[in-house]
Formats: sequence, C-alpha cells, structure tokens
Amino acid sequence: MLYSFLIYSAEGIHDRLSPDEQEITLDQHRALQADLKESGNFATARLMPISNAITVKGQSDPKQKPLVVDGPFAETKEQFVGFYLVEHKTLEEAIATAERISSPYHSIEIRPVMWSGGALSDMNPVGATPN
Amino acid sequence: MSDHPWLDARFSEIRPKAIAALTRYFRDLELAEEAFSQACIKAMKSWPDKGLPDDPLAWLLAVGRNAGLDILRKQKSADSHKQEAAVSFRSDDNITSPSNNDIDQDELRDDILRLLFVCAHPKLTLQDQSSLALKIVIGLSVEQIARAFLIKPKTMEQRITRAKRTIIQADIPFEIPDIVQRSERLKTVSLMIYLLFNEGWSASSGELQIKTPLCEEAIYLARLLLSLFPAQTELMGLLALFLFQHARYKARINERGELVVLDEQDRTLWSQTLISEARGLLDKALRHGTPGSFQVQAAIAAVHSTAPSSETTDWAEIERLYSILYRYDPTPVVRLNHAVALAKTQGPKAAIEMLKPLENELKNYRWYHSVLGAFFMDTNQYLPARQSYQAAISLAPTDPEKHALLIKIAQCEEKL
Repeated sequence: MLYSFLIYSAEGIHDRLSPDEQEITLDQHRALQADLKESGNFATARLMPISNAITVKGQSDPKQKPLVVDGPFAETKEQFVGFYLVEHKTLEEAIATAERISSPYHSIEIRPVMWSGGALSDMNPVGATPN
Repeated sequence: MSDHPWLDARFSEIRPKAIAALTRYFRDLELAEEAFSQACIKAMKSWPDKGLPDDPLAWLLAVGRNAGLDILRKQKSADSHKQEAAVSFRSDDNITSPSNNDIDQDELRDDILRLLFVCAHPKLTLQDQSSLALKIVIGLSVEQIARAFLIKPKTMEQRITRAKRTIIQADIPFEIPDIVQRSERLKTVSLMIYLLFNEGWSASSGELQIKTPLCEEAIYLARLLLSLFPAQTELMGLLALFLFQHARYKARINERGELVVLDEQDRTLWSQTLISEARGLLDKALRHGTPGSFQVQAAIAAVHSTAPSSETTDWAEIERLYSILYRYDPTPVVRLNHAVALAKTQGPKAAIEMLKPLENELKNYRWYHSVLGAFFMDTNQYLPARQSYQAAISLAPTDPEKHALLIKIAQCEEKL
C-alpha cells in the first residue's frame, strides 16, 4: 500500500532551534531518504512557509472565476510543512518509518493513498488513476 | 534555558504571542515578562513528563496569568492601581483551567503589533529600538543581543534598562487600532525591522562587515509580522527583500574576512532555496497591484539574484526600477543607486552627471565618494578619483573597506 506521511509543525519552531539541533533533525531525514532510495521509490518535499501560499477558492456560481486569496491564514496551531510518499506492506512498517523522523517539533499523520498520478503513477500500481 | 532544546524552541516560538496577550491582561509589560518566564519554568517541569499540551499557548497563558496574579498579591507595596486593574480582569476570567482557549486571534495580532510599535518608540535610537524588540518580543538574552551588535554585555544591559524605562511610560492605547492607525504602526515597525536588517547587512564600523544574527532576527520578525498580516503586500516585499539579500551572505565575505562586491561574488554560493522563497513571495505580492518601496527594492534584488553573472544582469530593468523607487523614496541614496545602474546602461559619464548635484546632500556618505571615485577612474580622471577615495577614507570606513580604498588610491597615484 502507498502511504502518505503528512508532517505538521508550528512553522517558526525549526528556525528557533540551534544550528546543531537543526542538523540532528535533518540527519534523521537524510538517513531515512538514503534507505528509501535503496529499497525503492519514494517522494518527499518540504513546503515553503504558508506566507508564500495563496488559496484558489471555487465560487458557487460556476460562471464566476474562482477567488484567489492570500493564505491560508495561520490561525491553526500547526501547519502542513512537508510530506513523504512511501510504499509499505503493512501499517506497522509505515509507523516504523514515521518513527524514524519523529521529533518533539512536529507530528506526522499517516494516511494511505487512494490514487496517484504523474510522476507518482509507478509508485502505486493498484490505484494509479482516479476512479 | 533548559535541558530540552525542543522546549526552548517552543517557548521562543510562543513568546511574542504570550507576551502580547499577557501585556494586554496585566497592562504591565514587565509583569507580563515575569509571568511568562514563570510559566515557562512550570512548563519545563510538567511538559517533559506529561507531554505537550494540546494548545501550548493557551496553557502558558493560563499559567502565566496565575503566576502574574500571585506576584501582584505578594507585592504589598505595589501601587493600588495595578492591583485594581488585575482584580477587575480576573473577575470575568476562569483562568484555573489551562485548557481554556479564549484567544481572540485578531486582538492578538494587533497586540503583537502594538508591542513592536511600543519598542519602536521615536525617543529611542534605532539600535535601542531593535535591541528592545529582540529582548522583549523575541526574548533573546542581553548577552545574545550584545554579541549580535558587537558591544559589551554591560553596556547593552544599561541601554536596554534605560530604553525600557522610556517605553514603559509610553501611552499607546490597547484598543483595536483603526485601519489608519494599524497601517501607520505597520509602517513604523516595518521600518524598524528594515533598519535592523541593514545594521546587520552593512556594519557601520569595525572589522566585521556582516552581523549575520541581526539579519536573521530581522527575517524572523518579518516572518512573524507577515504571518499575522498575511495580505500586506509591503510585508511580503520586505521579507522577499531580506531573503534575496540574505541568500548572498556566504558569498559576501572572502577567506580574509573582506567584503566581496556583488559583481565579484561567486554566485554558486548564493542560496537558491532562499532566492526561490523570495521570488515566490514577490510574485504573490506583485499580483495585488499595490506596489510600494519594499516591493520595488525586492524587485531590484530579484533582478540581481536571477542573473547568472554581473555582465548578464538586466541593468536596463534595474535602472527602470530605481526610477520607480525614487517615486516612493525620493532620497539622494536612491539616486546614488540609480546612478550606479545608469553607469551600466549609459556609461560612467552619465552617472557622474547624475551624481554631481547630490554632493551637498551626500558629502558625509562614504559610499557616495567611493562610487564617484570609481566612475572618475573609469573615465581616466585620476586626480578627482583620488580626491573622492580620500574623502571616503576620512569618513570612518570599516577596516576591509579602508583596505580596498587604499589600494584604489595607490592605483590612482600610479597613473598621476
């Protein structure tokens, strides 16, 4: 099963760590990525701060152009800061992967992937197209 | 502060919000600071065992309020006004429940802005303003701030104490500001952060050219403000400008600790991560169609940052942007930068013509003289070139700058 690992964190926290502490968390990611590269396909990304984001909101009237607004506004305590997509045989395996990059600074939501496409098509033979 | 770096990081991330909210609650900045640090001590005892609460800010606020009220109760000699105020606040508040989440986000962002605005008190020097902001809002220690500004901790301590006394008497209302007041506060605070970044970017004297920590803290404050006011295009411009410039810091100093000018920097050392973040912010800002000084400055930095070399830089675009910038900031320094761009598009003669009328206004600005000197050299006018470089040297340059100027003077003298 293809699992997504959605990482949530209070955005400012990483910058407030000492450079040494930042390295420790980054090392966890480097080690995991090195192993994942050995074992097969994976995808990962760290997102820019939400200050860089805009939101396109569909209007109820389909003739109107969608609204483009700044944000999302940071009213929530934690923001979506990055993700992994990894193939695992069992949920236990997936949890073990999440544990490797776990830290007190963020939480990781593990959610199985329903379908994937584009560069990720090869990663999910079961559901490679929307259905 | 604690054995748990993750706690320290969490506290400093929460601090601006907590201090702002507690200052509103107690109407007393020093009490708010004390209450917050006591709440952190309690958290250090509790969180490592019990785990992080669902809402760490609400937890620290509830505990901080109780701690502050305790301090007030113990202060028998405290003036009665404070007592009354705190008691009347207390009556409508169920502060005993740490999970109580009654934070009004709109009020909170204006409170943080207010806190920064109070630090930017007009009676304070720029350095005192930003030292206070680093101390109160970010929560850096006096030692850290002193190190960042390259001055003695003892001196910094005295300055902060003095500056604090000034702002505590400042009478800035706690009411939600109207749209005009808010935009004025944002302007004042943005300018303070802008000048803080510049202080870090181009040290005015001494050996070190870049006080990197000051740039990093300015970036942090800009991020904080933008997260509170995410639709403010000038804040996007401000942060984008910082990121474009900060992206170059590794290329700005060579192994001998000397400043490397933009033209001669190794562009492979520029941080593409920061540049692309800045690019994204600027794009986002510009599509609003409400340009301003910071956005135009960021746009200029963007042209430099995306050029593979000095020769391939779109100087015509930079020149155009400087003439736009002059509409927002009609200052001689903008003209000076415009002249540098003009020299690239129309040659040093045109630049000298543009610079000459600025002499009166910029005669104490050493960069004016060193730029003019370079243009005189480019047009083989070695006598005025030497005069200009000597004028620059007389204006207390940093050691690496002085070194570079002496080399230029020697080159002029060879030709004379």
